[in-house]
Amino acid sequence: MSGFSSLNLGVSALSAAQRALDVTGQNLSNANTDGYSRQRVQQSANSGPVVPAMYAKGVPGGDGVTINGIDRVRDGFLELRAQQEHSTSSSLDATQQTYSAVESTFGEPSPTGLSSQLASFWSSWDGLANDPGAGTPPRGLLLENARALTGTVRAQDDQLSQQWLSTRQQVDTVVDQVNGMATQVAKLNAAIRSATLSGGSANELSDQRDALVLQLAEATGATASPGEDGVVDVMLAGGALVRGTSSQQLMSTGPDTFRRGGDPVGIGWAPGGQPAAVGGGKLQGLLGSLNAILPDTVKSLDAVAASLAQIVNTQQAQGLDASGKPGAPLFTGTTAADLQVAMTDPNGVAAATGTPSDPPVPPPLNGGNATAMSGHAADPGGPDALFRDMMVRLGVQAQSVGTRVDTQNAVKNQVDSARASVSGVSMDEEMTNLVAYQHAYSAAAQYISVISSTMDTLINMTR
Amino acid sequence: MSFRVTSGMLSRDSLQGLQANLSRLQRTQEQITSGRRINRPSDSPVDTATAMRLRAQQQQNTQQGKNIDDGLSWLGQADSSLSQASAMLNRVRQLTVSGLNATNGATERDAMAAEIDELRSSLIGVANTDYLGRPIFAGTQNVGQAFDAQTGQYQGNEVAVTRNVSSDDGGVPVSLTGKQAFGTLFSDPADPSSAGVLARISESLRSGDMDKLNADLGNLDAAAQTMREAQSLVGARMNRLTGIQTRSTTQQDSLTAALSATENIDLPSTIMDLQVQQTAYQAALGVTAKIIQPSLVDFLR
Repeated sequence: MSGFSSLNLGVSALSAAQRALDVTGQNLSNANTDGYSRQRVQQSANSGPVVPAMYAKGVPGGDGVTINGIDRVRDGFLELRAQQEHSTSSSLDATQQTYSAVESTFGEPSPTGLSSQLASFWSSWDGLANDPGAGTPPRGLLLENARALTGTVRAQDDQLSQQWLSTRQQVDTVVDQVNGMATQVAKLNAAIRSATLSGGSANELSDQRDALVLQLAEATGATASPGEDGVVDVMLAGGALVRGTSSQQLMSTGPDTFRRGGDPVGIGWAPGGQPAAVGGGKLQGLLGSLNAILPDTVKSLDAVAASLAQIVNTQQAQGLDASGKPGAPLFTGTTAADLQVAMTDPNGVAAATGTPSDPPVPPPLNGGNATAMSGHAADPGGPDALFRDMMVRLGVQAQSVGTRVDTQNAVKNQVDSARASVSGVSMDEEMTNLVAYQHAYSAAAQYISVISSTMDTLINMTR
Repeated sequence: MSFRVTSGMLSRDSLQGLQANLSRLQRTQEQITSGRRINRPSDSPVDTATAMRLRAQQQQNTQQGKNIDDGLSWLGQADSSLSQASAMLNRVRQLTVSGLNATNGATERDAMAAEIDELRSSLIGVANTDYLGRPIFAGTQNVGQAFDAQTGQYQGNEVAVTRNVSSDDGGVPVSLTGKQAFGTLFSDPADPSSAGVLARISESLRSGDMDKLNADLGNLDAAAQTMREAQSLVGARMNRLTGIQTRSTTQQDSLTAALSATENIDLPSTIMDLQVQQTAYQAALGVTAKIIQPSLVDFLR
């Protein structure tokens, strides 16, 4: 080993320490960067020549240190789990948001909700029974209560449609974001591939890409599978959203506005709309809201409205109005959207029981039909019971989704903690490294100065 | 596996803990400010259903309370009318008995007959008493008056007005029909040509037909008996309604209590919860402030 090669050894030690200091600095500066994975210098000791040169006599020693590369510290399995858990979690979040909006639409239990209005409507029939003559105040009051009731039902239906609409728009927004992110991932893949092929470090690019992939998973439930040259493919069940350096676009399919019994809203591959399997993520939650939760709620509300109209109109027909004619229908409509009070004349309300005569004569003031009507409040299949059942169902479903959200958040947090444990920057560790590399640098410099002085000695010796 | 703990993890976990603490606090605060334990169906689906049912029942109960009040007014009106009518009948009886007395001459009997005619129209007026525009002795018939003011003919029907006072009792009758209260005073089905007992008495007084007068005294007593029975019937029905009213008020109280127990918070325990959560939150804040600050940076010189 020559003196000059000793100097070389010192230089390699200096540059390794310098490089390690740089990486420590990079870690420290990105300690709070989202998606950043801590980096480590991979260095190995240079061995001397393994096969000695011909006629070589000396014992070959080591020859300094080499930087092999800078690694991202990352656990692929944890990343995959994170994608799955994040996807489930954001799907549940979207579902929970829908449920809580539906719950606030109905605002039950309260003294002003639909159930209370139903109860006042039935009570006003009892009030009519007390004073069933023509043109009495209870008749007008009853019609007003009926109008308030139908107004509430229609307003609630309208709110549900509005909610459907805004959820539908959200689907389009998310699809746009997904398309943008998929394009971005493909571009980053290309950049990473060329960096990797040219032997450079693509750590920061990979971090950026992996953060995007996680967002894609949160939006669509997609999963990533690593490919050649540091490239990652993003797969929806059965199809590739990103394959290597090319990406596919998604689009939403189905109706833009809420219609009863309309086609379901779906996600397809652009441009044909071939169905794409969205296995989780926010989109799954939104689609569930659009295709199941909101239509089901509207359907239940429709059943309440239909039952109300049917029961009241049937009982109306069995009684006599103030002029002695059989009662005309009070309500029109069979759904929550078109439930209306058809009657305009308060005297058309059938309060009395009796047999109609021809020509009609004012019926007895027995209020029998009105009393019978008020009894329908307790009908087992009546609007009150249907609405109560609906609220219980809604409550149970919302509650169970809430519980699942809590559980899923705990799972997600646990996985995120595990990821942070592997990939996160620890200040203490970096500071320790900083000190270690600083010492290494000083020692290497000292070493060079010692070699320099030995060479000095040698050179001066021959003077 | 030894777990690396990084400062990022620490701050994330602390933040999550603080968030969880805060969201519990917010929940309790919502309960305290609204005074309600259930603010949405998912807070407790079963209690939501119970609360909705109780509230509907409460409303029904309130309406039945109004029905009872209305019924009591009807019966009260009937009671006072019948008391007035009884007093008048007593006077008629006095006049009839003294008319039977042979010492009275035709002039006196004519005067008595005139007074009885007056009493008859007053009685018809009492029998036509109305409540909120409805004659109370006409049954459910849709007429302006129970008895024709001139002929005394009954214009009502035999169906009592009922009030829906409770889910168990159903319709309770709150009126008496003209026949039940006034019997044959103004018209007599057995003698359709006459205008009832009172008219016959005044006729007999004028004509001096003592036998007929004697017979109608008996009829008058029978009519008075009918009226007394009617009065006691009114009393009995009032008693029944008052009983139902008491029960209904008690039921309303227990409904309110049940609704409150289902829906409203238990204030002391909720405030205790709030205190505990606040303490926990403050402790978490303190600990977080301690943990987040130091790292090796602070100690390397």
